Amino acid sequence: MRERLAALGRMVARWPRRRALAETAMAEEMRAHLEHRIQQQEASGLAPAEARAAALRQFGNAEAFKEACRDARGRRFDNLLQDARLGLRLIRRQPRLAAVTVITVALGVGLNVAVFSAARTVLLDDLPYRDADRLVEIWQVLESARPQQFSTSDSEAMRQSVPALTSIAGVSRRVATVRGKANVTRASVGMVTPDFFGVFGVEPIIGRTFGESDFAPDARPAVLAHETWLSQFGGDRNVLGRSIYLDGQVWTVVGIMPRGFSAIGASGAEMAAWTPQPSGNDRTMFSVFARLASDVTPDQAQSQVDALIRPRQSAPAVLPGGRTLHWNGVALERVGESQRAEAAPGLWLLQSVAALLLFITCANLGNLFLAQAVTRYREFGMRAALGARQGRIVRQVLTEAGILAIGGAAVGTAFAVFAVSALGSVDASILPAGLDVALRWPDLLLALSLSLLTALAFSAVPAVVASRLDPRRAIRRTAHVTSGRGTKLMQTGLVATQVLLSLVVLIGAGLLLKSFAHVMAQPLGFDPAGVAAADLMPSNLKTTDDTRELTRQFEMQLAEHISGPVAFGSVPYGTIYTTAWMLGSGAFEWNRSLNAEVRSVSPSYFDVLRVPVERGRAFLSSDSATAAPVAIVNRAFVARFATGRDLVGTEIQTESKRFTIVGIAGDVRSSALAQLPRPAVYVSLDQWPDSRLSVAIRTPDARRASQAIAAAARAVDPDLAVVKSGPLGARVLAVEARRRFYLFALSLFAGVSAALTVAGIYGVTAHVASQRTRELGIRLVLGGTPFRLKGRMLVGGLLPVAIGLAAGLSASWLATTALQKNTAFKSQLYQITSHDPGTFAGVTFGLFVVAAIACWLPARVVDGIAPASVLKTD
Amino acid sequence: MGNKDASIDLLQGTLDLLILRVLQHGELHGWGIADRIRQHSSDVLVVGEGSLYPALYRLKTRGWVTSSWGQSENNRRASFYRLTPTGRRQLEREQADWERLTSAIGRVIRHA
Repeated sequence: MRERLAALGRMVARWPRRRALAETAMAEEMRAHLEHRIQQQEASGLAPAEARAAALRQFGNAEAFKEACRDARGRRFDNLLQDARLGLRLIRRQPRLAAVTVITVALGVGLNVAVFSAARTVLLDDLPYRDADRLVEIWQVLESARPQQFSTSDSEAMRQSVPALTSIAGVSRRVATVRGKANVTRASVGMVTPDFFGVFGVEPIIGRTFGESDFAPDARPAVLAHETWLSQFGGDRNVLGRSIYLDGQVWTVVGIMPRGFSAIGASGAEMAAWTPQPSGNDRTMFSVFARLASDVTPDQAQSQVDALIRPRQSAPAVLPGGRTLHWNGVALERVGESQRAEAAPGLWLLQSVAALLLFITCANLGNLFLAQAVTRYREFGMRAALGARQGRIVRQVLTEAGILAIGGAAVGTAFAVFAVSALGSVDASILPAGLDVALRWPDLLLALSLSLLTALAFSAVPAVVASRLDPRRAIRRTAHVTSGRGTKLMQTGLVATQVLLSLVVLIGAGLLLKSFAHVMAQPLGFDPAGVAAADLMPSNLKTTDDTRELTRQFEMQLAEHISGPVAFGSVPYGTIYTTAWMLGSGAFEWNRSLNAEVRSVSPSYFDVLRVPVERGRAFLSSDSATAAPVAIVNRAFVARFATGRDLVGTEIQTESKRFTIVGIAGDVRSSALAQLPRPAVYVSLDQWPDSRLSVAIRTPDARRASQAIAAAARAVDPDLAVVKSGPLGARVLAVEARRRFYLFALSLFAGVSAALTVAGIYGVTAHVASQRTRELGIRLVLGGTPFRLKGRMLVGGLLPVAIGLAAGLSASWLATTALQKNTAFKSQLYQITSHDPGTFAGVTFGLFVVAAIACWLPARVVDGIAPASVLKTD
Repeated sequence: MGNKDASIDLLQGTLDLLILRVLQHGELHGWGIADRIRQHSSDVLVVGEGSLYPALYRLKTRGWVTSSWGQSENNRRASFYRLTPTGRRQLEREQADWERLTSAIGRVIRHA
């Protein structure tokens, strides 16, 4: 393929020289012929000069012969070049038309290529494992519970007696404090069985994976993920043998895995490092990965594993409180399938909208070129009169469009490169983690074919219109031809199509915008402005009893760097912990228990976060470990469980501890704006120490606060990880990242669609106006008032808009109905239906008004017509 | 345009046959080809440059003749044309076709 391309390249490169040679040869041959003729004439007795003249006379039109010879030699490429030259001349002569075309195509193609690049990476490309389609993940399904892993003995049994699987490996995940050279963080660490890396078939880029000796009890080797290598060791190639601390224990780096290997499994959790799984612990639960034997389908393998595990799972799992979970079989799926399935609806949504935009682009440029063809009728007529065949003119228009479209695609692709890298860097989590999205060959190929298709779509009709012009009429008339019925019909159709399509996109974006407004209008229940927060993660070696000491020291250290009220505990948008509560003072009974969040907080918490305590009191420093346990419940708790009682003063208990309710606090949306506040119980951090801890500080300088928090953490405990440090408001927005992304993407598409469409409407009306100057002048002379004429033009311009809007409303209805099956879209709607009448009406009206303005502006040309001069010009 | 020299308009395709035929005994340059045709037809068939060269280029594109540069008798550089093997086969085919056609026309003219 590459050789063929190279050969083609050489041919093209040599072509001008070859053509020049052929031309010289032809000229020389003709000259030789002429000489023969002259000699012949001289031989018959003429004087040399006369002989020459006679010979030339007989010879005839040498240029015409040459032309005929060129035809016989074959000259496709010649014509193409000539068309290209004409096309370039068009660009020089009409730079605005060219620029508009290039930009329009760039938008249409660029957005499509960018989205396709992401979709291709996620949905089509193989994951970076050897024979990735034979690689499966296996888990157990328990009734209404998350995927369940396998015990050591289960996975050992699978290894020995499932013929459908050639190799099998397990990884058990733990969250650990990871400290390398650079910083401290909390991350997932995988403990793996010996053949884990072999099953994936991926080699490390530096060093090695685990060998047999690494599984000895005293060995401490670690393989790092690419990300960890970069963040902890700055990508240093001399990393082997260096130390990395996992939960304070030192491990030795033996290998670095390639990029993209960190995200695996249905859980999608990115691993920061892998260590060997110590043997002889049957309580470890494994995520199991396996390779399918070559002639086995996933279904066959699944039933084999199912048959093996089923007898081992006779007793249902028992949860605290006596609830049982029944075993529902074994699930087996190709690695990466869940991530693909999750990302697919969003990508489909974006790709469909991008496709709509491309259609709008085509319709828009179609109108532009149609108007262009009509105004260029003289040029085409002249060429036709000089003998250009119809096909030749059609080809010229197509080539011009092709040149502009390829230029547009080039610009659009450059734009797509930026868009794609931006898509990779925004944390909208619409793409599976760990995937590198970048423009590759298939995307460029798509850009090229889209540009050519676009060019064909928008120039085919104008080309035919151009070629059908009657040359005689075209040359003779110097003034305007009124465009024909066909042209007008075509213009109406194209404008209506644009209006239709952009109404669909606009309504989609409108629904998202309205949802977003609804979401942002939800009361948070606390005031994140001016608060910086961070999650403090002590290593697993620390116990909850260390918490009091930690907060005391931390507050002291923090005070040395920054001043402002500090609170500890369960900050909104942090870790959420739920437990079973029972109201009343009797013995704890599971079947009378209620599920509610526990928020273990320091006394200053309600002040710092400005969560109102509406009744009773907040916590005091006197609510210490030794004092009587107290609790504060939120309004959602009261609404759900109080049943009319006044809860202040009543008792509330968990399975192990009793509290007295001393206050009622306002509701807080603690995990997402769109989520209703859940019942929650606040307890005093001193009375309920919790190692899952956040710190919040009210300060005007959140940036300095982050540095202060980091410094304080280093001073208190080198293995204390600081996670998600920054303004609390940023956390709230980060949770809405996906919502914001879809809103941004759809608004972008809608904005471009609307802009193109309105520009298209304007362009057509302006074109019609310029074609009708004479007619309008005559009407003015005959007594038409400018106002009435403008009115007529407005109505004429708005007719296709009205048709488009009417059709667009039905299309939008159908589209939003279809989108109810698209989970990505549906999950974005908040407090409105997908057929929200307000959005439908508002968007339609808005587009109509803008369209009316776009028609009115060119109609004002009537005011500038001086009837007398119009009549005189012709 | 270019056929005004020809005393009789050649049938479409017959020029190709004539060129191939005069080339069957060896290579000739353009003028030589036209001259040979004129001589053999006793000045009835005069091939103008306007038809000759396009025909030659056409035959070349089809691979029936090839050309190389040589010295003509009046000491000018000229392109000499000669038959290729496929050209030779083509000549046989066209000659057979031609003979069938002329004998058929002859029969019609004699007997009708």
